[in-house]
Amino acid sequence: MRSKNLSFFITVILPFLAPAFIFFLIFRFIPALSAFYVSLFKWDGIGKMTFVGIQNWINIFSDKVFWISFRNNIYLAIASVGFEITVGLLLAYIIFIEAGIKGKTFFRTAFFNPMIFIPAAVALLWKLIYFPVGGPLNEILSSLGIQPVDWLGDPSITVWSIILVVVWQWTGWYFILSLTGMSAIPTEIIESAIIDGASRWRLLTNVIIPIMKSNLFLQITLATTGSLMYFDLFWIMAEAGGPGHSAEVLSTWLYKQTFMWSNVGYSQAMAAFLTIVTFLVGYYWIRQVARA
Amino acid sequence: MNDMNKKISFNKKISRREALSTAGKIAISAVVAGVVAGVGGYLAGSAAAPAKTITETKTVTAAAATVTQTVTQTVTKTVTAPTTLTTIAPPPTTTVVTTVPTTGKEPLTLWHLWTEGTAQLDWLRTYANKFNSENPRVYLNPVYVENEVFKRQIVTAMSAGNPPDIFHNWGGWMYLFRFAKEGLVYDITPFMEKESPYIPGVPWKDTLLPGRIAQVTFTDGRIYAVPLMLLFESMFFNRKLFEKYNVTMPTNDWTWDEFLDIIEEIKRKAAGEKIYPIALGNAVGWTGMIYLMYFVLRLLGADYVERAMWDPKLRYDTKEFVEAARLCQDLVDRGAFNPGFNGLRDTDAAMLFANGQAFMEAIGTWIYGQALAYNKENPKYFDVVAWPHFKGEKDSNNLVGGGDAYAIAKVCKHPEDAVRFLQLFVSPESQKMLLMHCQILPTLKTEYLGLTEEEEAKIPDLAKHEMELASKATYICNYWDQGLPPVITEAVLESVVAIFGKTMTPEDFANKLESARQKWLEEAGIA
Repeated sequence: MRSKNLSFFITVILPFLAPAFIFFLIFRFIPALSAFYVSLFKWDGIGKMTFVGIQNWINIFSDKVFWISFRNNIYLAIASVGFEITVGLLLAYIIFIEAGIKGKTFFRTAFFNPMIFIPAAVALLWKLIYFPVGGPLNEILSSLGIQPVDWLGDPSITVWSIILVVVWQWTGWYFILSLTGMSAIPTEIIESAIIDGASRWRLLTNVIIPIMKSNLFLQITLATTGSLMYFDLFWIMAEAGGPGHSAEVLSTWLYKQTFMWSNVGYSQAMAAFLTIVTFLVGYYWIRQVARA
Repeated sequence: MNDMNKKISFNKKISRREALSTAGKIAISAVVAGVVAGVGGYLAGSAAAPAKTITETKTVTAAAATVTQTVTQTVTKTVTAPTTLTTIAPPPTTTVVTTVPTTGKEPLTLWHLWTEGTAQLDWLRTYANKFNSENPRVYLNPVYVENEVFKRQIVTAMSAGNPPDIFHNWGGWMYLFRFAKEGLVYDITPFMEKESPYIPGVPWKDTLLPGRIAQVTFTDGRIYAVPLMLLFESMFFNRKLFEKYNVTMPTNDWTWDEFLDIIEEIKRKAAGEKIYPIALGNAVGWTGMIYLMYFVLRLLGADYVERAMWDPKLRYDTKEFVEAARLCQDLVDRGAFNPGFNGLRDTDAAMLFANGQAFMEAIGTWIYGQALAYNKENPKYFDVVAWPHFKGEKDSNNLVGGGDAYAIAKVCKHPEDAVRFLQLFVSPESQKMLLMHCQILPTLKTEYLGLTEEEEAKIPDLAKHEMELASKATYICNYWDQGLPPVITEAVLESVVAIFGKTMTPEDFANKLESARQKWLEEAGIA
């Protein structure tokens, strides 16, 4: 029996898997491993590679900018999980449970709308909104008698200005994920809970969330790993990493080190670090999804 | 420079180029976003290799580059036809059509950064055609590469040993000398020392601006590229605003104190309005760097910074460097700039300047064309003056600037033919087209241009004033972010925003620069 399974695996499963697996190996696995290898060298991308051992790793951990970037990634992850998913879930619940709301389709579209914009367009749009000289946001503030804010030029708030845009854009995504999750719940369960007299809040916390557990864990997986690797808005809105690297994230810092300053060994150490962290975080949450 | 191609667009097509570049960025971002968010998120959790952002970016970029090249080549081929057989009517959008009789000829690939619709591309195609119709052995095949893609692609192509035959660069260390040092660039010194077929009796290099030749001459004294044009930076101002507010007009011999007085005068006379003395968009770093470069040029001489790159006895942590940073912070304290400058791009500042919301801007000769994208009226009143002078300054006439150059790769199979094309490209006739059609300053000395009186009358005042300033310069200081090695460039660009944001002291700046130089000396084995 066992050998039959094995032969089935070799003759049927493996040939079907092979194309995808080879593709995966060449474009994912080997580059990821090569990052670990290159991180042991000092290399400018064109010249000779000099072996320096773990010097690059020591350098990244003693680099102030690296820690600022990592911190910003963590801020982003917290904002994503804490805000995007929570708000997305609540919005989805309201649309799902309130039978009386008129124009449900309109709200569904409206909430999801920011998601369909290309990140570069979103970045340029919000740069205009944040524009310090006569930009709409500052005009509104000053008409209310509030001091104008230097949204993208003040080191203490630049990162939050950008995170706000990320949250604005991605909340709709988690809203749709939650809504599809809820729609898959059998109506009998909801109906019997309502007949038993469950309030809306209890229905959400005691029935819907437990049923949707794996869906929510999946959302958290996407949000945390996505936050660790996030690039677009930070790159376009704070081109030079914001004043004093205040809005640098790991991927922008890594990109700059590789392509602008030609510190390839250094940047590969960073890439390898990012790989490990993303792997661990992703692994943990995928395990939760599997268990739920 | 962060985006040289943007700077060189002296003509009004800039808006289109920008649109294209934005479209490119959008496309790339869309793909990156898709891949990172979707595949990355999923794979990161699976037991095998998680997504690695760096791989992502590389893959996407390579794909983008391939697409660009393919498209460009296809376009060229569609429009082309053997001259002897058929003539194809030019499409309405392009003024110049490439005609390449490809049969039996070998290609000379050329990487350029000029998008479809720019006057520079017209210029390149005109002379590519001319070269192709005259040359029996090879034909020139221009391939467009996007500015940012180029910066990565050229390094990859060079290290992989398959660079184009002729490649764009800006002189200096980053995109020319470090390849030359590895023996990857063809040495054109022997040709430079002989006369060019277009100007008999004078060595070729003596017909070109000496300041530009210096930017393509490596420390070994060999010349590795041919400069095509001149771009330089200085203080530009809006004549109409100065007249409207009755502010003292700047002159070429103005001193630093007079400059500060003018700022005070503007602030007094335009008080309460949203008009600022100087436009600055410093998020990109290189705009604030112009100030530092000019201060250092005035206080220490134009070639000091580059000399110190190779001479361990010189230093960057001198009192002049400290003073340069201090002067920048002094301007910030005086409220000379528009608010929010550290979060704005160079294009944002150009917009403020173009819309008459700023009296002056320290920027390059491309500002006229760039500003036209935002405002059709104001740029007509733009004018240029020399950088303000200091008492006891080391250098009064030299400039900060650069421009495009073409170099030949060592692997090129027909280097003589490539040189012949470059000689044609900087011939008097071609350089005249650059000046008159593209409105970009030529790299050929004015006396060799052979301008008729009629042609001279057609040149706008701004360009005349620019040429006047350029004619006095014997040395042109290359932009630090192109002329210096990455380790120093990084230190400079990292510091600029901090200096203007006052989160770094002038002393720290000088020390940071010097320690970066020490690192470089160590790397290069000079110390």
